[in-house]
Amino acid sequence: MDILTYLQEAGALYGPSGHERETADWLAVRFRPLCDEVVVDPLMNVLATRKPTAPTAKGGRAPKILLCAHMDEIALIVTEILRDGSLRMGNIGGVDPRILPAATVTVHCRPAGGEPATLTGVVGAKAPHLLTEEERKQNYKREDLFIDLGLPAEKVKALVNVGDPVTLVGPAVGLLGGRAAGKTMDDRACIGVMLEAAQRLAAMRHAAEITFACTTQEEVGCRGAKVAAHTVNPDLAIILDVSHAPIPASRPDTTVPLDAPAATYGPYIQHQLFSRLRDTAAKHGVTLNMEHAERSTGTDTDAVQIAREGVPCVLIDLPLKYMHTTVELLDTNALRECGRLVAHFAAEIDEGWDDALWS
Amino acid sequence: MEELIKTLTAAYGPSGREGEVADLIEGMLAGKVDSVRRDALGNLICEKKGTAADGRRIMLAAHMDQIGLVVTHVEKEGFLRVSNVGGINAANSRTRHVRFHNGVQGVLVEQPLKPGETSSLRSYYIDIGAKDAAQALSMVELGDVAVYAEGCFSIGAHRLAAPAMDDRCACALLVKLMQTLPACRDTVVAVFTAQEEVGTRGAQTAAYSLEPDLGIALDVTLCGDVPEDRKLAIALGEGPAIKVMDAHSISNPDLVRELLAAADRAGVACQREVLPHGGTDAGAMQRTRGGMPVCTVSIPCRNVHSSCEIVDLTDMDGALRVLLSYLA
Amino acid sequence: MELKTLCETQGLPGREEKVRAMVREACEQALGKDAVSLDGLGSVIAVRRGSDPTRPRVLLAAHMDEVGLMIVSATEEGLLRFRPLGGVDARVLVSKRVRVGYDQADKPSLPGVIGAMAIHQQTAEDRKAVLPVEQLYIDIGARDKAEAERVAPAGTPVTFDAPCVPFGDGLVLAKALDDRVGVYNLLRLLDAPYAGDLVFAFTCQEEGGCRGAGTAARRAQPEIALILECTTANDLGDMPEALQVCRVGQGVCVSFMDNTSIGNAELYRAMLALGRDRGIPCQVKTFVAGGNDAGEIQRAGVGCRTLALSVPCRNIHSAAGVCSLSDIRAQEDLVRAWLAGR
Repeated sequence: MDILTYLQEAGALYGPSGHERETADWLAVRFRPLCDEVVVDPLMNVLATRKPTAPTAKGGRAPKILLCAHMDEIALIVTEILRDGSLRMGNIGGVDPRILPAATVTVHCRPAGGEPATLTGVVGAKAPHLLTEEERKQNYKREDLFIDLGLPAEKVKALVNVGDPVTLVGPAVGLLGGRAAGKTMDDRACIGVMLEAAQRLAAMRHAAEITFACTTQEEVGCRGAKVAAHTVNPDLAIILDVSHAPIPASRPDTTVPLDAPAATYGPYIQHQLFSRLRDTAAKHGVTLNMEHAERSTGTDTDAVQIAREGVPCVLIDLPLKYMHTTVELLDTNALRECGRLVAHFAAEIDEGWDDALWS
Repeated sequence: MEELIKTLTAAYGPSGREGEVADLIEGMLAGKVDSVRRDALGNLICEKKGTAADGRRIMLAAHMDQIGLVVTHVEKEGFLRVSNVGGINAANSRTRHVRFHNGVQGVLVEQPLKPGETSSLRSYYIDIGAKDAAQALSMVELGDVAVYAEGCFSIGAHRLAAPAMDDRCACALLVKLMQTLPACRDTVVAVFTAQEEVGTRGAQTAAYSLEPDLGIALDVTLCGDVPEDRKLAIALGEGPAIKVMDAHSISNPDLVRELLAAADRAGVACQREVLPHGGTDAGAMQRTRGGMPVCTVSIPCRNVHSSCEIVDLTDMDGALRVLLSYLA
Repeated sequence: MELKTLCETQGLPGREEKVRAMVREACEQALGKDAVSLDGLGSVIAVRRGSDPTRPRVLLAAHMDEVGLMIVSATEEGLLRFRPLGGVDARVLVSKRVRVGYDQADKPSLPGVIGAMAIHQQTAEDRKAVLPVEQLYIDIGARDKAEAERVAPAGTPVTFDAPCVPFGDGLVLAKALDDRVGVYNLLRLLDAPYAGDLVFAFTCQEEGGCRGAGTAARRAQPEIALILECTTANDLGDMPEALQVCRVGQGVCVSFMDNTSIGNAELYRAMLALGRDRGIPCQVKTFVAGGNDAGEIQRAGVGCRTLALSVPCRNIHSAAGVCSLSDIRAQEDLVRAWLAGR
């Protein structure tokens, strides 16, 4: 798989939380040749399953593994159409208002009786020379910003409705040293990890049944993963999400190096499974850094761990810089290594994997 | 509809104590539905079977509970200290007439604030006319819950004000819907839910046991058409609102379009709602078991979570027609 | 099992293995191996089948975990940086002793201390500000980063270092009373007379988000659940009565409501009446605050009727919790009496 091409295509898909159908359809097509069964559930989660390709060690039931990475993206939503035709906006997920002034955006509208359409907009704000001395010292708040569509008010009102989603624009670009930057690396880069792993697994023998879940609505509270985990009902789960790589302003113990995958430890992570993951990484020569989460991990792990009667989880992190901006920056080699680790880890899960889980 | 609203808003039913409301509704729906039951959390579940073998199972949820004030302590002088049950707003609660389940009445009062102290429920007490703690405890017990006592009254031509309009007006809507709903393909389960105000707790367990294919919550939403409060593009009397999103759920986009289309067919003008905070039973339904598409049909309401919540009967009527059109 | 043993055992959220082993063995001895299982978070579920299917299926639940700390890194100087697991107020940490790692047969845990700048060296500003957890360290005497990382790698669990000792008049002073007290009583109740199905859940990860109760309850599927807990007692220091929550020594606390659940109204009234009739000391929790496993259990699956019965505890979530032995006894007595009457 050419990773940069994948990141460019995946990053361009339309998929704000709760509006993932287009992204789900595209991903279902990508997973179909690599899996035995692909379904899209009521919340638009894509559940792609590989049946076991090897018997279990003692001929017993095959363990069921769930892998999760989320497909939804943070976005904005139209909350009001002003008299002058500009739009007030709200958040879908955690958009930092600091990235918005002068940003290009896409408004996804569906005029009454018409087909879906897109409009390009620019985010505007009160001009600096009109601000008071005090105001200049502060960031713009989202409620002070507006989207300019460059259209007369009547036309805007005919095309746009309150509730129309607005996505950010930030096509992926390759940088030096195998690095890449763009929007929605969080978390479609990790779906790339799953595709990479699925490709490797197609050439390996594995005793477990493996379901790749591309989940929805993570950015508004891990809502897709909650129902996906209920439906799949796995024995264990591997969650893939992005984490923070260091920048000059980083505080201690809040980052992991950019050039390799990391694994999270903490109460939401099953500690024996975590040790097993580190052993797998060591065995196959994958550099695996560590990251802590003293409570909520802020990822799908939070929902998957407590689905049904409980699911032992590990969380693998793909580090990136500038999260929740349109220039999320990552290392494609780390992405590839992450895929290799996931494939080996899943392939080596066999009957008896949980023998020492609770000691 | 007006009579139903007046009857239901008069009932006592804070979160966790919804029995009286459930009794009333059960009476209103006697003979109108195929089955009625209650569950461990106090939800009232009324089912009307569909005619088609392959019909969907649709859960409609309106919550019975209202916000209230739970007695946590009795002062020596007989005054009751309270804590909130749900989103009681202290600023809306100064010197209010309140009542308990057993008919005891009282006045909710804020004591004088010390310099620099901010207003919170901790500085409130209820005066029930007791002369000391012993007398007070003979009238109410610790753990008893008071609600706003104001009655329902008309303002203007077709507007009503009452406490507990959130969400008894939607209970009335759902009762009316079940009373008038003709036989339809889909099985419709009207769930009058418990404990919404403390975190959509009843809807969660009801949806789990019912396993519906689709969920629609009926609830009130805020208005942005009053002085100095224009954050929200929702106006009273401009028609029911179809929720696009709030803090707890993003409505299924297809279901939003289907409801808007149903409104078109019924000739009802609808508003679209994007609420930056709050949530309804839809959030709980959406994420139960394997998940389901959900939406909320909202009744615009002024002064939500006060003792005078105002709704417009034309919005109520519009909501009823939208739902009948959708289910037909 | 002795309360002292239970309190002195180490068991942080997600790392309950030592408590789990003890509880599991006790349950298997009392009810047989087949009666005991683990859920996907490692909670211990013990089922005692009843003879009378018309009686409701009852769940008794208590959580195995305690609050504590977790190592996240070491400084160049060999000091250990940490994060709290569960609600630990940074103000209770400075100048305390801790155990780094769990005691193993061949390798005891390491003692450590949490130091802070000497008062002589503090500025007026330093004194005003609460030291955030990020600026606190555990000193185990390591000489450098390499040594510290070798003996206490990231992820190492840290518990308060405090023995469980008798205290004052009929009280007990210990870490982890929340909720080893509940675990203790649950184990004592394994033989409680009741003709219906009775399920005992020793849950994981209550501290820091009530994670384990819902998963356990979905396995147990009860109709009624009683949650045996500890709750904050704020009864000293000339506190206005309305803010005291409950009082140590005045009996087991029955809760009509907290931030995670509203106790079932009938159960609440029945339990208080039962206490009155039988002379089992009970009190009402007179402040709506905190939360516990009852919330998750109430709404697991199709839901169930719940009530939390809590033993009042001073300095909860610190190395120096204080409970009354008579309150602990009342918790057991009340549950036993209620089961006998159902």
